[in-house]
Amino acid sequence: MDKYICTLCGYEYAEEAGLSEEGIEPGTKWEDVPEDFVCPACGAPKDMFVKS
Amino acid sequence: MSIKQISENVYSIGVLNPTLRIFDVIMKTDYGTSYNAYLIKNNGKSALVETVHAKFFDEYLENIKSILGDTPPDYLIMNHNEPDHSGSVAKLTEIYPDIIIIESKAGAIYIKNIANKELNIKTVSDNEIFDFGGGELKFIVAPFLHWPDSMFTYFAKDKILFTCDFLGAHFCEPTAFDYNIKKEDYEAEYNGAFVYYYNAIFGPFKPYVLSGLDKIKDIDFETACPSHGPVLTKKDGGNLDCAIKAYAEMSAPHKNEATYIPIFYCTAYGNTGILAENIKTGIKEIIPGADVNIINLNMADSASAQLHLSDAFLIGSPTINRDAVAPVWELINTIDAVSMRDRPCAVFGSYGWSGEGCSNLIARLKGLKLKVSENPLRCQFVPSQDDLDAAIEYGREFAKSL
Ligand SMILES: Cc1cc2nc3c(=O)[nH]c(=O)nc-3n(C[C@H](O)[C@H](O)[C@H](O)COP(=O)(O)O)c2cc1C
Ligand SMILES: [Fe+2]
Ligand SMILES: [Fe+2]
Repeated sequence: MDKYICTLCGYEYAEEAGLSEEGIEPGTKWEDVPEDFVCPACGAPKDMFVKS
Repeated sequence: MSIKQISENVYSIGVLNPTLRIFDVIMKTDYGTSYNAYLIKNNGKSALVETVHAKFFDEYLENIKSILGDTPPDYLIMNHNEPDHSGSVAKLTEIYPDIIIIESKAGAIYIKNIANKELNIKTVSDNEIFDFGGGELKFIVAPFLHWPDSMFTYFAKDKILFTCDFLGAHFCEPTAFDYNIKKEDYEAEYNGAFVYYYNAIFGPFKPYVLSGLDKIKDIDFETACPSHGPVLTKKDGGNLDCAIKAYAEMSAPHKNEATYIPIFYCTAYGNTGILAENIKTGIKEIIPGADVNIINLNMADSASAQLHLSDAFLIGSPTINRDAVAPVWELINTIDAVSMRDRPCAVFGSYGWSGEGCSNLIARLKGLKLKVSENPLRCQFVPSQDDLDAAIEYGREFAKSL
């Protein structure tokens, strides 16, 4: 499972953990995270994330 | 009180600030500004679009009340949460505790840290349509125009698009409408303010401006209501079409014909300048077609523009009193860290004994997230033959790394 980092603030999304506050189940692949996802820390859109 | 009716159901309820001369620390506002805000009424429902700078809350509230009387507004739409528009949210919610605040997802995060109190927030997604008194409000999420939170709101019934800072200008227009500017013969002043505003606010985000324009190209609007400066119309003397065209032109991607690698330097005794010449020789060996322009910062005044047009660049400074010199820092201070991100660059310079100039420059360029080479080219005092050879080799290696 991969991790993705927000290039604006450094927040990390781990596929393994998901993000329950946003209804994203553990194990959700990055490509399956909704397109309108924004960084929960700084609000950056999904395309600002890169694989870490 | 400065209410203006914009269309059948929309009122301008913002405030004028004609005497403001500096905005956000860095922007000059020769013609003052206005913090525009709007009120939409539709079949008994009402929505505010944006608030105003906290200093002007009382006038703003008076404007609301003079239209709605004692009826509280149902919604507050926040297209963007910079304090010039969000500064009155906390006070407004004291007066109207039940108001529902409509925010983009990013906006919802920001407003919590700006108002620092419990708010009734409804977040909306791109292209979401919201029923508003039987009419529709549509939200178009427009990230980085000019903050991650930015969005536009479309009120189809009156063919109005609310764009917040997008298409705005710091220009205090008391009549609220663009066509009066032409009538009063202030066009040159307004156009200057419009372009200056674009450069300061949207210059770093040109690709996003183009995608924002693309998102609104099929939207049928005849009026754009920005949050600074005049409302833009298609009426006689109106500026809406021109403004959109200008945004597209100013945002068109720039491509250099030949790889452009300016080498900037400052020098007290010529040593750092000699390094610059030899680095250039090395670059030209590897990329003969490259346009390598050596710019002495003691004499140049367009250095910042050249820096931003570059495909890659080098910057040289002697070490004087344990640091690089002021003209070099001044140039670096102009760097637009958004559009220059990952730009390849390297630093060089002559020094006498401690040589901190280069390492300080590297640290700063790294902080700005440019792609700066970790190894500077340095030489002690006057470049020897070995130093000159090293400079040529440094130029070769830099060119190969591109
Ligand atoms: C034009 C503009 C651009 C901004 N860009 C950023 C940014 O890139 N990153 C960030 O973390 N905050 C950014 N901010 C937010 C400011 O850091 C924030 O509003 C801060 O609270 C301002 O502090 P002050 O009240 O001391 O001026 C920006 C603010 C403005 C006005
Ligand atoms: Fe803004
Ligand atoms: Fe603004």
